[in-house]
Amino acid sequence: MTVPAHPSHVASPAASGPAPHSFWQRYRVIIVAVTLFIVIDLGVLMLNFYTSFKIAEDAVSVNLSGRQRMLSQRMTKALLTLELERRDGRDTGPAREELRSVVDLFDRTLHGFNTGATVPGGDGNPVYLTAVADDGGRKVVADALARWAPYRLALAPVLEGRASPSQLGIAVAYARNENLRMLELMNDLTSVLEVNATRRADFLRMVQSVGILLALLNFIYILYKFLSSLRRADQATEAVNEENREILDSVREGLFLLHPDFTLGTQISRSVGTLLGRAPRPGDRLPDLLGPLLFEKDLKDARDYMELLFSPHVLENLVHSINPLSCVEVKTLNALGKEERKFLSFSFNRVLDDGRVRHLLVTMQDITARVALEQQIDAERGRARQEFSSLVQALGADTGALRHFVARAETQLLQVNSLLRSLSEQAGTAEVRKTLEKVFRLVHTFKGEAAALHLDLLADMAHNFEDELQQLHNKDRLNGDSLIQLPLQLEGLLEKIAVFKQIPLNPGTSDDPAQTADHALARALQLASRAAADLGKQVHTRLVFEDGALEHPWAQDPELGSLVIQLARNAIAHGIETPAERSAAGKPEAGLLTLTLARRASGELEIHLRDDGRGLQPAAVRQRLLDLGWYPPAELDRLSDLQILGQITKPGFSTAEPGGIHAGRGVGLDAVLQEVVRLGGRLWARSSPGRGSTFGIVLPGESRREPARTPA
Amino acid sequence: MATLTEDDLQLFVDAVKHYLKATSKQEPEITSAFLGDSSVIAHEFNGIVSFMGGYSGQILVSMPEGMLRELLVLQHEHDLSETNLLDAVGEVANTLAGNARKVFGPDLEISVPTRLRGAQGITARVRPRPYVITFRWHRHPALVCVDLERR
Repeated sequence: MTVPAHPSHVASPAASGPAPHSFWQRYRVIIVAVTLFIVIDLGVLMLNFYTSFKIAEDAVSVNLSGRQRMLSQRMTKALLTLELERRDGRDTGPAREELRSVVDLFDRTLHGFNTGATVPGGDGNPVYLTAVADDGGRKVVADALARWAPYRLALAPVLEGRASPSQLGIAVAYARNENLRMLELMNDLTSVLEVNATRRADFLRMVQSVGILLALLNFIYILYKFLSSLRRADQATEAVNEENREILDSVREGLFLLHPDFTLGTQISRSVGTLLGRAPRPGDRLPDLLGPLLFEKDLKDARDYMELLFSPHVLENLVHSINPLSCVEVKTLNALGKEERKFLSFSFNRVLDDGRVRHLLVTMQDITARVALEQQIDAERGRARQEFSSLVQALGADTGALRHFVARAETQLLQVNSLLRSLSEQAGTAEVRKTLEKVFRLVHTFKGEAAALHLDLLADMAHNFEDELQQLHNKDRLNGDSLIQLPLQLEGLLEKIAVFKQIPLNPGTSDDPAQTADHALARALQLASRAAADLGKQVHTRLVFEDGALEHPWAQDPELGSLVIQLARNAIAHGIETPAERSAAGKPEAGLLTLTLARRASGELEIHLRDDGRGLQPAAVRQRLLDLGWYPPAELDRLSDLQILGQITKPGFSTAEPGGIHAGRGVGLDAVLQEVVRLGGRLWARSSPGRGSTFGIVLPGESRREPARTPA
Repeated sequence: MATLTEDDLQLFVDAVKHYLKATSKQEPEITSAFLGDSSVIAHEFNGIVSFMGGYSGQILVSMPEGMLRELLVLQHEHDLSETNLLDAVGEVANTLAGNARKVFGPDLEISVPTRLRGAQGITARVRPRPYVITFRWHRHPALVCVDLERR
């Protein structure tokens, strides 16, 4: 998974498809529908205004036609009042004035109905009276005008105040004749105008209803189109989200965006949880998630690195190489809830927007397999080198000794396997521990012989095996799970021995019995020089066969070489001093190991290994026993020096520093003793402080060749 | 021959341990681990799963009749017929295979468990000497034989 180092933007779904739609194309239908909605609304509004205006005019007309009815009656009343006042000789001025006012108003209003004119309204303010347009109305107005014209003429002298009694009588007669008819005509006019107004109001209602209905339909259409469009957009978004989710769920890498405050973005691939051992949530801080997994320094380096990446002036390509999380080891819980070590790789890529670092795209990978493979390749390379070197050494070695070693080693390792197998039938921890001690002795003997033949690879592998066994042995309570690793170690050794078995070894080179014994024991002593060099010591060796010893059956027994190796290694590790110590003690810098084989008169073979080292030191052994806690101090005080020295063959006892390949296991003398006892012999030791020690083995007259050891 | 790691072996052991612990609340105790050959005689009831992919070979889970009977009783199972006992040991082998898939990944091809009746010597398939891990549960001995190689 790679992200361009150059400014990048997250591609929108449309960007990868056909050319994007314009705004008009995308929203055309909705725009048309909304425009229609506005047009309908405006149309209805305008019609509404117009009709309302007309209704207002109608209201004025209806109102004034009603006033005409009232004026016709007031006119008659004023005329009759005037007639009565004249008859009574009273002042007729007010009545005439009232009559004039009413006649004038009636006349103007009636003409207004006919032609349209501005007339005083109900409140006295001028209003425009629209001419009656309706045919029925016009007919009524025409009829009223026809009747009003002579009536108006008859009233003229009265209004001018010069009417004779007869003229007044004519006017009164007119009033009496026309009053009712005029009232009816004005009534008719009012009715006609009311009908018109009602019709117009009905029309307005209809227009409004239709307008609202159209607007409603249009709104529903807009809503439908809008919702459809929204649903399509949602479906597209959902599809994008679903694809996004599928990608994030299935991608093996851990992917997420990191904000400048180191919090995680909302899109996090599922693998992140698997890789970190816990599922993070959007908004979690990356340093908090990594805190439990990393060392404090690594975490600080990671934080500094991320801050660098968020700084725009730092070139991304230049800092990639200093990414502290490119390969980091973490401990997490696996799918079974069990702690496991793994290697993770984090890579950070900038996500830029207008030259500003908005996020870091973080990619996590589990590179455990890759790292393991690299380590395996390195290990294999080292092992191959070592194996090659071992093979070269083996080919240069004494082929007879090598052949004997290979044959014995396989037997020893199969015995180890039998002992491991027998653990299943052992009940107590003590029994198991005892069996493991036997395994340890076998492995230790194997290691010694491999080292004697300079088979370093085998010696190292055996040493590692010993380490595992030692750790097991040191545990207070043996846990069955810790046994699981043992067959793996054993198998490794068996595989290597199988390789050595395939090396063609010339059986004829060393089959002369005397030569075999000589070579085997000389080879055993060769270890001395080698182990001494490893320990910073110098040593010379001497091999002495006294009369008849070389022909003794035991002298030709390869197992004798194994015993000598153990004794020699023990003498070099514990007896021989360093050159400086020897010089200080007035001795030559190089120590001397003398191996002497002598045939006793009884037929037994006696083997002495003498060193001129520091000798057994009871005080050091006593202190070591105290450190090991094997005896309470008071009991140690009661033991004689001889009894104290008797402890050195016990399993687990060693005065050397632990962990070295040549000593420190506390097994060497124990293994020798066990082997000597198995062969039916005896082991003894003699020592003189400052002058050296001699370890002696006495073996019976006959060589007891019984290679098959049965596990106890 | 690609050697397996201790973690690989531990995985198979853990699977059996978890199964038995979940069933009986008592974890089995590992009693030994060694290299097996035909002289190692398995128990009466055996479940075998074969692997292909990242690993090849097979794993054998072998249990005695008494142990399986006890297991079934603990699971409130009344049918203690041979078929059911074989099913039980097959289920343990299947659980083990499932755990292997969880850890080794979905690329691992695992067969359905083969169930076999009869105590026989262990037959090596891919390793010269397969790993044998013995354990004890409720006094009953049982074993897991891992005969796998990493590809």
